[in-house]
Amino acid sequence: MTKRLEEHTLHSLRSLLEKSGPLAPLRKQAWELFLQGGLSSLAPLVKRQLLCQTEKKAGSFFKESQVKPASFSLVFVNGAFQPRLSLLPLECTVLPLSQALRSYGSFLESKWRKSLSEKNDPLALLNLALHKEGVLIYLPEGVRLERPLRVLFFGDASSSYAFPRIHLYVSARSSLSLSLRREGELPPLCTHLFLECDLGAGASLTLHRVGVRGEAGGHFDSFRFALKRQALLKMVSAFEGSGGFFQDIRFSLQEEEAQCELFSLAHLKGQGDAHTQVRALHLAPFTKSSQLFKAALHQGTRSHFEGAIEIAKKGARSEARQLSKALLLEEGALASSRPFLNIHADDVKAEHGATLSPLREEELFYLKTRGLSTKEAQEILLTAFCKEILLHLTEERYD
Amino acid sequence: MLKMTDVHVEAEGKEILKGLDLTIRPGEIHALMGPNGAGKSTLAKALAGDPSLSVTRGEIFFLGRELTALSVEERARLGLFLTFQDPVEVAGVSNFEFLFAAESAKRRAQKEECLSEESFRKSLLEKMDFVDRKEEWLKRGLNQGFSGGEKKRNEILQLAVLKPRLTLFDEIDSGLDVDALKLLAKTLKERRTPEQSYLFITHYSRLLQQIEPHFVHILLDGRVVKTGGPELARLLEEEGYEGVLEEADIQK
Repeated sequence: MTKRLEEHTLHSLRSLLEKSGPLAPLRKQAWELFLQGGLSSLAPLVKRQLLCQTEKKAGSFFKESQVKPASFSLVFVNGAFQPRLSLLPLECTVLPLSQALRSYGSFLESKWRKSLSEKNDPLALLNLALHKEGVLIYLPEGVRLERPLRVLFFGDASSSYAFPRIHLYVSARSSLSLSLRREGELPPLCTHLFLECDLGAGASLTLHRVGVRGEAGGHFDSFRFALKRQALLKMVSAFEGSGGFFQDIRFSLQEEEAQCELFSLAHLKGQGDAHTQVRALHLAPFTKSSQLFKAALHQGTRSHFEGAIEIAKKGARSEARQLSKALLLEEGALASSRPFLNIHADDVKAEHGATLSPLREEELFYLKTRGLSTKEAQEILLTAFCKEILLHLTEERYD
Repeated sequence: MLKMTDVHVEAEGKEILKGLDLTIRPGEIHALMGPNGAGKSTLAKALAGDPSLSVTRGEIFFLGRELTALSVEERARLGLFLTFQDPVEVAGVSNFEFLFAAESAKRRAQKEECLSEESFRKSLLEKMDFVDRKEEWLKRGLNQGFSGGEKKRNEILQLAVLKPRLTLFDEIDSGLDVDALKLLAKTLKERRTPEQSYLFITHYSRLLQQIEPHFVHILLDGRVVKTGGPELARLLEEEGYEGVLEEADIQK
C-alpha cells in the first residue's frame, strides 16, 4: 500500500471510528481484513494511480452553488451523501445510512457482514471501512420511475479519495434507471464506489456509469447484484481517459428467469489502466446472462479482464455468454484476458471468448481506398468498435 | 490517364505480374479477361496500393504522377477507385457516416469547402435511384449484413459519390443475376462522364455485352498477351481461352 494512501486512510479511519457508533466494530474488522489481504493483484494499478496525484488548486473547495439539480439527483460530496443538496423522487425512500440504521438496521447489518467476506475485493473492504455517509434507496413494490435518477459525485481540494456507498432495494415489479456521474469543476480524484442492489421478482434496473478522467486518479468501483425471479439488470459502463478504471462486478441470478446484461467500454490513453473482474453466478434454472467487455488501447495503456461464469447444480437450462474484446490501437499497449467457466448443471448453454487484436489491415485498406487518411480510417474503426457499447447509453430524458 | 510499362508485382515473394503493359486514355472503357490465377485482381489491388503487394519493376503513371510513390489515400484522392470483390463489413459505422467522411476527405484534399450533412444527404439521395428503401440503406452499418448484390450496389453508390477518374471493377459481375447485371450496366453507362475511364476485370463476357468496352485484353501468366475490340470477348465466349490463344499462336 502506498504511504500516502496509508496516511490518509489512518486519519480517515480514526475520525470515522470516533463517529461511527454501532458501525465502528465492522469498520475496524473491514480495515483489518483489508490490511491482511492487501491490494494483491491490484497493487500496481492502485499504486500507479494514487501516487501520481496532481496538486489541486488552492482554495478550490466545494461550493453548494455548483449543484443545480434540475432533475432527480442524489448528490455526494467527497464521497458523503448530501440529502439537502439532492432532489429526490417522492415515489421512493432515500435515506442517509446513519438514519436508515434506525429503521432498516438488521437488513443493513447483514449486508455489511456479507461485505466482510469480500476478501478478494480489497476495495470493497476499504469502502466498508472508510465510507462516510452512504445512502439507502428503497423502491416500493410496483413503482416504475420513468425518469432516470442521477447519482452525482462532487469533490474538492479537501479530499482526494471518496468512498461513496449505495444500498439499493428495488422491490417486486418496480423499475429504476440509475446514472452515475462525476460532476463539478473538481470531482474526487479517486472514487471508490460500492453499490449493492437487490432486485425483487419482476423488478428491473438499468445502470449507466460514465467516466472521463485526466492524467491521474480514477474509478475503483465494486458492484454487487442479487436478482429474484424474472428480475432484469442492464448495466452499461463507459470510461475514457488516462486514469485508472477498476470494476469488480458480481451478480447472482437467484431465481428462475432472472436476467443480466453487462456492457462495458474502456478507451484508454496516456497511462490508462483498466482492470475488470466479473463473477456471474447462475443459481436457478432458466437464468440468462450476457456480457460484452471492450477495451481500446493506445500506446502505454493496459487492460486486464478476468471473468468467471459459475452455473450451480440448480441452474439447469440457463444461458451464459461472455465476450471480452481488446483493440490494440498502437504498439506498446498491453491487454490480457482470463475467462473461467465452472458448470455444475446439465443442459446449459455457456460460452466465453476473448479477442485481442490490432485494427484489421483489410478494413484500413478498404477505407483508405476511399480517400481517408490512415488517421481518419483508424478513427472511423475506433468509433465503430466503441459504438457497440455506446449505443446502449441511450439518450436519457432527465427533465 | 494510366500508363503501365513492364510492371512486375510480387505477393509474399512470388511474382504474379511479370512485365505487364497497359495504357488507358480518358473516356476509354477497357476489359481485362483471363483464367483464374492470371493476375487480374493482383493488378487491380496493386494499382490501388494494397500493402501486401510490392511493385518490383516497371513504371506506373496515373494522371502524370508516378503511382507507386503515392499512398493508398493519395491514389484515391487523385481519382483512382477500386470496387472490391467482397467489400469489408464494418459494424458501428453507418453507410451514411462513411460516405460523408469519404466525400469530405476528398473535398478537403482538393481544398474545397465541405458540404453540410444535410446538403450531402440531399445530393446522396438523388444518386440512389438504384437502391430501394434509401434511408434504411444509409442507416445500416457499412456493408453490414449486405447480400452479394447489395454490396456491389454499395460500391456503385460510393463510385457515384466520389466520381473518380478511373474505376477498376474487380469482378463486379460475380454473383449477380441477369436482371441485376443489366441494371448495373445501365447505371454505369448512364453515370459515366466523357472523361471517366473504366477497367472491368471479369471472367465472363455477359457484362461486356451490356457495357461495350473499347478494348478487351487477355491476361495470361502476369502479362497482357492479346488485345482487341469487343469482338475478342465474343470470341472468348465461343472458343474459350485455349481456342483464342491457339489461333493467336500463344501457349496457355
